[in-house]
Amino acid sequence: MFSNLLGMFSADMAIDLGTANTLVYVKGRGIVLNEPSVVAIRDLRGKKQVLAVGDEAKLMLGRTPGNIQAIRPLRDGVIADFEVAEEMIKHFIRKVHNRRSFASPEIVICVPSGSTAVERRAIQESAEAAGARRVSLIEEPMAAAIGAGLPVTEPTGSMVVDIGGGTTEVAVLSLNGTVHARSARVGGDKMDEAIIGYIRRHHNLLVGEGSAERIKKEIGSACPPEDGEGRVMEIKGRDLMNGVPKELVMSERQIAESLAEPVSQIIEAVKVALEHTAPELAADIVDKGIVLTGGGALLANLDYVLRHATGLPVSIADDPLSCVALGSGRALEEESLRNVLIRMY
Amino acid sequence: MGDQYGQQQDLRNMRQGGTAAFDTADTAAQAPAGPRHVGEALKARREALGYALPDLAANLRIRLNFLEAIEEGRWGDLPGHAYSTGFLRSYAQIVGLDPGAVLLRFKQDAAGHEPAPELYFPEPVNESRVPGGAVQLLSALLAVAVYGGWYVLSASNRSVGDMVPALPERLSKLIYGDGTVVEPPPSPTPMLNAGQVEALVEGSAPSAPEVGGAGASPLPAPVQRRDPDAGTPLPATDTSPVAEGPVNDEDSEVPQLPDLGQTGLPPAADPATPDVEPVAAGEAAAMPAPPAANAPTATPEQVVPTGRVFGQAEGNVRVTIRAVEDSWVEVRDGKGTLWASRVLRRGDLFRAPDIPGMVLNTGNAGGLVVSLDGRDLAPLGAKSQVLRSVPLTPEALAGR
Repeated sequence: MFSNLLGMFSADMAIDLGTANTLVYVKGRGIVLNEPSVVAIRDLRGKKQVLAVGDEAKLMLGRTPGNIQAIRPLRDGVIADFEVAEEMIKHFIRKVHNRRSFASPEIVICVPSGSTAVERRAIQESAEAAGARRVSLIEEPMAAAIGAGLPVTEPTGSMVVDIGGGTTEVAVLSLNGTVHARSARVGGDKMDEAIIGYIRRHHNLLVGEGSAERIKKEIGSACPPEDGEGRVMEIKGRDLMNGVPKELVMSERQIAESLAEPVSQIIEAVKVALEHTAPELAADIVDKGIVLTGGGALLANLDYVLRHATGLPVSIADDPLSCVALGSGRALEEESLRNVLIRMY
Repeated sequence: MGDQYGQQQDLRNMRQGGTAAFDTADTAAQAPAGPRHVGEALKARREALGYALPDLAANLRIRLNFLEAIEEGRWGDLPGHAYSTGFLRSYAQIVGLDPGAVLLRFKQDAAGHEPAPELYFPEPVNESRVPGGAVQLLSALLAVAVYGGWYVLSASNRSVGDMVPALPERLSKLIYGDGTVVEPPPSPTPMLNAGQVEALVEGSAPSAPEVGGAGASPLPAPVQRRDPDAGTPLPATDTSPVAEGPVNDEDSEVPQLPDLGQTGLPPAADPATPDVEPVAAGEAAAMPAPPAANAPTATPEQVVPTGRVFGQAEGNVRVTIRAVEDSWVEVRDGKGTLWASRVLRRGDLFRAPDIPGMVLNTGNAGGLVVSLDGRDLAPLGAKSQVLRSVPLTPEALAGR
């Protein structure tokens, strides 16, 4: 009763705590924050201080002196560094939650469907420590499907593939519940690593994570072009042989080759999920197909590859990067979706 | 993002053996202009490229009827909004149109048709409860009634037996066989004042109705009974044994009747006239007043109606308490044993056992008369006066 009263004054929020980006959706206002999940911490005579969070901190990533660390507190979709993650959540909440309202907000946070109870509890505790009045969790594929506008509450099968920074979530949903979900620990980060590894192996050039991500966004493709090398891009890094900075031109074909490994893992996850789908739901999916969400859906030709691997229509959701945050926010706002929220205790 | 799609679409066109890459500004201008809806624009574009719809369906893995629905603008036949946009995007990409512009146009076209999908979740059906509302209400009423009845009974400190009205005297006499058919009690007479009686004495008969009018039922008989002059023949009846002879001498005046009116409450009068012998009445008929005279002398204290007796049942007791009004009494002995704790009704008698240390608590001191060895003592106190720890031993009472 009292908490309901407080709820009128607090800006309840939904947080898509992603490996790569954190999005915050505030009730009634939409997505108000979209920043990289990076925290820069300065070690001042043994005392740690948060120096920067989000965009500022991302610029520091890989460019820090010894007393500053730029940390990504999430790895593979789950919190790897609790203290830093807590600081980051606190920072985002403070940034979003206007100081005038005295009530602490109710928070909905996304968790990968494959996360363990310990991981979920850790996320919930971090959010509570960051000043939430009440913390609920929502499974990422469910949030993604709601955000993409799929009819998850109806008795019809919907298949969603959410390719995030750390994990790829494949799920078949029906009647507000998850019929089958698979979480593969492959995503944008793995693609970046694959690109780094490929360039080092083939060209003895070491590039940073930031550069690798830029390459992926610009000329990355899930399948090589049919003829020729495709688009090309200049890549800068450090030569491993003689240790000097060096520039190199990479083609789309080469990058597609390097991405073959993570892409095939995604395809595998989708195929396994389809195998485990009940026939009635499979029939629904044959008609309507698969919906791709998450940043990974922006990888060129991924829908084409998946379409040919599965033989199903594959659609990319509108604004795939925001689907999860939008869906979590909708679950927070709409009473009929309340039962998709999870509370650990 | 749009940039990426543009590049992607170039790739597609190459893969499909498509002709040329179209710059987005061109298609964006093209799409909204000519055709009626986005489906026609796509169809025109497809036909210009020379693709057959079934080939497209096979390539995109989208069912043919969905593609036809798109081209004919039948938005209602498409699956949900999320899927339709995906289909349109794929279609736009494969025919080399800008997906962003196509989707924008589609949203305008289909805006009126498809409202934002309502997400609702079926509520669990409530199990029908076994007892219906009516049954519950009924049982609640029943429970209240039972409790109320119990409460009334227990609160008034009466047993069910007490609630039965006392047997009317007439009937009890029948039962115990000590009388002939009993006349109605002379209760109405008190209602008469002196003047009326005078009138009655003189002119008997006509007065009957008048008396009846005075309010009491079986009047004619008593009235006539009182007729002295008629002397006789008649019914004039009532002379209680008590009232005979001496009393007559004493109270020969009719005007004493008003007293009767004051004191002669029916119950008080009743016992005074237990037997009514017509013959005896005839003898006594000379005096009109006997019954009237009789009543005033019978003080209430002397009347012991059908009172109940409490306390020591057997043997002789020296102290008794008689209630002349309803009074609550509590009697304890020296050891604290409770002998009585109840309301003595008018006429009830409590026989106090002869035990040292007996004390009386009462809520109505004026309603009790304590007798020691048959002698009434002075009243304990005023009406409704609460007295505590009045000694009930003969020794203590002797001093009063």
